[in-house]
Amino acid sequence: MYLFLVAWAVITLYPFLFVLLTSFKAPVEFLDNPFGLPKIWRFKNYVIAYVQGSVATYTLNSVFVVIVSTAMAMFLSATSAFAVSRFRFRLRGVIWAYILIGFLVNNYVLLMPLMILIRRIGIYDSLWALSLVYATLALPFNVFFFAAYMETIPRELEEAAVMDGANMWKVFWSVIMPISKPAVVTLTTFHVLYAWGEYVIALLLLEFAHSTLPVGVATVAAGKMAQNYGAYSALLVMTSIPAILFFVALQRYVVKGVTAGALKM
Amino acid sequence: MNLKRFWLRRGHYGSPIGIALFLLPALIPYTFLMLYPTLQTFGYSVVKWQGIIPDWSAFDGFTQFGYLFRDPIFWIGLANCARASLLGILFTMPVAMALAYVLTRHARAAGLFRTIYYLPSVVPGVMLAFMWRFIFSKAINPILEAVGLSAVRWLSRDGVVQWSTNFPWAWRGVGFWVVILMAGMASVPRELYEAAQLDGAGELQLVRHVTLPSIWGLFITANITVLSGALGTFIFQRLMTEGGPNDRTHTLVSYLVSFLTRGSTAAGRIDWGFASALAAVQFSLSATVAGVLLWLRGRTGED
Repeated sequence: MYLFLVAWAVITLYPFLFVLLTSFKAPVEFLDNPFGLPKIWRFKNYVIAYVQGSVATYTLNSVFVVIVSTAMAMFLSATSAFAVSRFRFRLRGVIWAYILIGFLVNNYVLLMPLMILIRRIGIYDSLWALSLVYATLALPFNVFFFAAYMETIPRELEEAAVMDGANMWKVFWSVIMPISKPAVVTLTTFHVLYAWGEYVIALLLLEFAHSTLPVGVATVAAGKMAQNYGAYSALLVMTSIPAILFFVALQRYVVKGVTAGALKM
Repeated sequence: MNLKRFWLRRGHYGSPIGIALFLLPALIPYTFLMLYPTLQTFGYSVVKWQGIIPDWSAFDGFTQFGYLFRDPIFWIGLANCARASLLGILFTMPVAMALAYVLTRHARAAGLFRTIYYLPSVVPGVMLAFMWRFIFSKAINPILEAVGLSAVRWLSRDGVVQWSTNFPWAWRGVGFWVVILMAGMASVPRELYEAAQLDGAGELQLVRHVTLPSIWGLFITANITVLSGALGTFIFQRLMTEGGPNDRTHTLVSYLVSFLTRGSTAAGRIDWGFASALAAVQFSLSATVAGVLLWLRGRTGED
């Protein structure tokens, strides 16, 4: 039994290990010794990848998009989930259905009109626009998740706040949001990983020179670094490590979110 | 005040305007950046195009769909999506089922294994694609030759490359489904297993007669979700082979994206109408799969 578990762990991890080891080898050494430990640890590969791959620029752009789009995603989905989950109003059912329609939409069907629209209204090549698009595309799931969470908050808490003279915003901000923190953390981890790794929308909405890390890496790795195995691998390692560390630190929340997705099934 | 009574249950502190202010920041971008472009794809696929401008007054009928269905690359794309579904259902799901079963029932370090298996899901697809491209071009043949087999051109040989570009997708999915299936299996009562074991059931029989029936709804949903995922797979094809050689490894989406990027870089004419028809068909296929799922759920009374 354990043999099977370990076997799949090896199949999962070995490709990463192979790339990691290659990232410390000179190209000539790689050809002689593709599988062993490097005889000479060549850290220079990382410098080459970092400088020639414009990693700094792409990383800054990615960090910007991750932060801004996560903030947007949380704000937009929490406010609307608050409205649909805590109030009983006429159009509630209609709006709820309207948001759930989004579950049917995949990212590919809207790519081309979105690209044309973004260019036409003059926000092509803008990290803000890309962030808003990410926040919007994640909206149906985020609203669904937030609303399910907020439904469980007892009414007495907000009634007490209203007695003390709180308005809607105050109830939202100082009663509902603090209690919804676990949902915020789970959705944030998902959105950060999504915004860090998303490729095709960034490819279409930004110029190559101003793009995010995945698009930058795709351009560099297929282009000038294709034959320099060490630097190529170093580039992949550098760009994967932040996502891996982030996941390992917050895996509890990721698993919780995926599991909630499973229960939804 | 009347307005308020009309809209809201009596005595509630919300006002219609307040509620609208909470909804609009999300509904506006949602409408214009998500739903509207989706509908536009369908419109774009049936109108005439003047260069890059759609002529909404000139209905072009289903001409573009005619071109699409006569395009061999469309059928290649569909075949590669079908290969992905096969791998997903015959490889990803069984492996994930077996791993999830062993982890739920027997393993001590279940959390550690689960973390390892999930890792590929969090690493950006771009990095995985280049990792596998590198492995298929540089790492596998030395091993084959060392054990006396002959090298295979994994990324260029017709009949092989269609599978080597789909395999990373199937590999990546295992960890995700392990997490999902473990969540489902956690709620299977221990007594059911114990009762079956008293009747002398072995592990395989336990899976077949206890685990599977208990999570049947989830299992079917998972398989259908894998199908719809297979229809959207593209990143490995795009970045490992660029759809080549001779467009043999395109999927529906990688073919679509190849049209869109040609438009953003070079001066070459883009067939916007054609690309829209392709997107519309891809969407309709996924929606059909989703519809089947909803229908099945309604029938079995799940959810």
